[in-house]
Amino acid sequence: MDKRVKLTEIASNIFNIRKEEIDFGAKKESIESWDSFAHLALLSTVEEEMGVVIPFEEVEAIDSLDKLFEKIKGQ
Amino acid sequence: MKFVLLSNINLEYIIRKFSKNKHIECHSPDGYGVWQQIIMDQTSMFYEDSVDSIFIVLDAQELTRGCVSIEEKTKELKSIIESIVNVIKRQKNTKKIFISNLHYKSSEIKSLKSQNENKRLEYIWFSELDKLINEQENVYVFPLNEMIQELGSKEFYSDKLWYLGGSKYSIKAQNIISDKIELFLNSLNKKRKKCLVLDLDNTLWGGIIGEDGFDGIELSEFKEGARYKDFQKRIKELKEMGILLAICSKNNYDDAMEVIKKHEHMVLREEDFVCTKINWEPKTKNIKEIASELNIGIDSLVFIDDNPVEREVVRENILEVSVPEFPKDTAKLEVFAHDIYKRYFFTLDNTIEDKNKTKMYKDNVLRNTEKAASIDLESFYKGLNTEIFIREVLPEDIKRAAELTQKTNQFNLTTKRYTEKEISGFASSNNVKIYIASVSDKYGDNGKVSLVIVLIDDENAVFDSFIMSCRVMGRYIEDQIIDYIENDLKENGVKIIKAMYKPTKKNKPVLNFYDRLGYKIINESNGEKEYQLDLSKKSMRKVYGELIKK
Repeated sequence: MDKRVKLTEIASNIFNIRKEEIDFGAKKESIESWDSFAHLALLSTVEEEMGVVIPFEEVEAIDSLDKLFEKIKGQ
Repeated sequence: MKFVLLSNINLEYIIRKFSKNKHIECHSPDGYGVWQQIIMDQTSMFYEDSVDSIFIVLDAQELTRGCVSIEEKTKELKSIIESIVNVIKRQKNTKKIFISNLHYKSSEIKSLKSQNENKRLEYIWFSELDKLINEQENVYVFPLNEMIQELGSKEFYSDKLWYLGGSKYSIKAQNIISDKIELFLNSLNKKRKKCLVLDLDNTLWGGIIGEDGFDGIELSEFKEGARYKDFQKRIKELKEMGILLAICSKNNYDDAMEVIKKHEHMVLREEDFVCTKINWEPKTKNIKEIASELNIGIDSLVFIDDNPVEREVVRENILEVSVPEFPKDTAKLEVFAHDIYKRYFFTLDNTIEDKNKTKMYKDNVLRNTEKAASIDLESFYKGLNTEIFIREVLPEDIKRAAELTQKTNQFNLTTKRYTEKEISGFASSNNVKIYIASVSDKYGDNGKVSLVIVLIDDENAVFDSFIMSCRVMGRYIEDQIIDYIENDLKENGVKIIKAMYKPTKKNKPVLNFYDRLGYKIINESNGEKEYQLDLSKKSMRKVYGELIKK
């Protein structure tokens, strides 16, 4: 599956937002359901289901789906 | 349904997942360090009446954090499990309690020999837990250790989630845990299917007996044929758990029977099946006959066939039958058996009735054959040497009592479903009497087959439920049971009995049950009938068996 599509699916599930409404450019702070727990669940699910690695040091800096996508698209 | 989740680690993901579930409500204390306090505190959610079950999921390493030597760890584990055991034994709780066994993640750098310590610690915990579950009917092991083994500990634990969020298990692992919780909870409410209907060719063995011949079919202990033998082994286990097995196969009877009787690698033999339909008739016809011969609802059948056309025909023509897809890869047959079990037949534990079920249903088919041969019905009933044992429910009857309310559809006057907890509640009330009866005859023991719940208010009594398993229907056993109860109530000062018939799709056979026994209709609307019987004007009842008060 296309990585972008897969990421949309995961985010939709974790944030409880319909897939069509997922906005890759939106900042973490602007999405209500993107709390610290959802942040970890998102990154872990992406790692586990997409077979990519997001190093510990980079977890904090990811503040939008665009940024997350940047990290994983080449892996 | 409401359950409490207690843990010594952060299981936030599971809690959030259940918050999206419409049928299951998950309660969990704030903070994961307080699980022991919750168990001890008699005013906590652990003791709340509305909670049906409790899951205690424990991470081994966290339980013994701070302990260095194996002796210290052993002492700590023993003291924790002892305090849990004491609390559970002290309280008369009917909630289902699931306590996890332990798994030590081997993260320490150790020599090969000292790695066994962890196994020993896991066993210390398990042996105490095992004693508890054998003593307490409402306590079960939550098989965390097995879940970790099945997925593999590398995937089950997540270092990153632990360091960042105090959550020890990966998202995948937490999904596995929540699925297991859901499976267990659903099994408390869901109706189990009763009968597995199996095709033969390319289902119980590889190949087609009519073409490949006795020596040409695939069925063996090792290699290719073991796919089918292993599948049969799992199906046999389902049978031991009370699932009825039937055959529905398009074949020459003698060809197929030769394999069933004589093939050295057949696990399932003739006596394992309650019913065999091996002929060239349409499968839909055979399936309907199986349901009617066994006297069970057609919606309690699951049909397994490798042939997609047969599956489709059955699906389209008998909507009530469950027809799962057959695995495309026959190496997966054993997994398929597990899936079928989880989907249709899962149960937390078995009653004695389950183990003997096949024999009981087969006995019944025999009884019916003799009934057909016997011209004088009265002498047939008398010749059965029926014995009816009746008593008010004891604690050991509760499980079966609840099961009778859950599973009985035909001889069920009000079709009220009760959980074990509700039945226990009734049993401890002074205003309720619950009678349970078992029946045996010259063909064998039918087990506990009838349940009557009576609500008593001084001189008035109400039959809340009157239930009898269809296995013993049509033998006037109910007449003797009701007669006994009426007399018992009369002795207890009851003068008037009220009763009710509530129609459902399935309880037509008892439409005129109370009418036949001399109860007067006092109200009737939408098919519901309310009755009354003045105990001083009770009529005589038919007696064919011997009734024994136990």
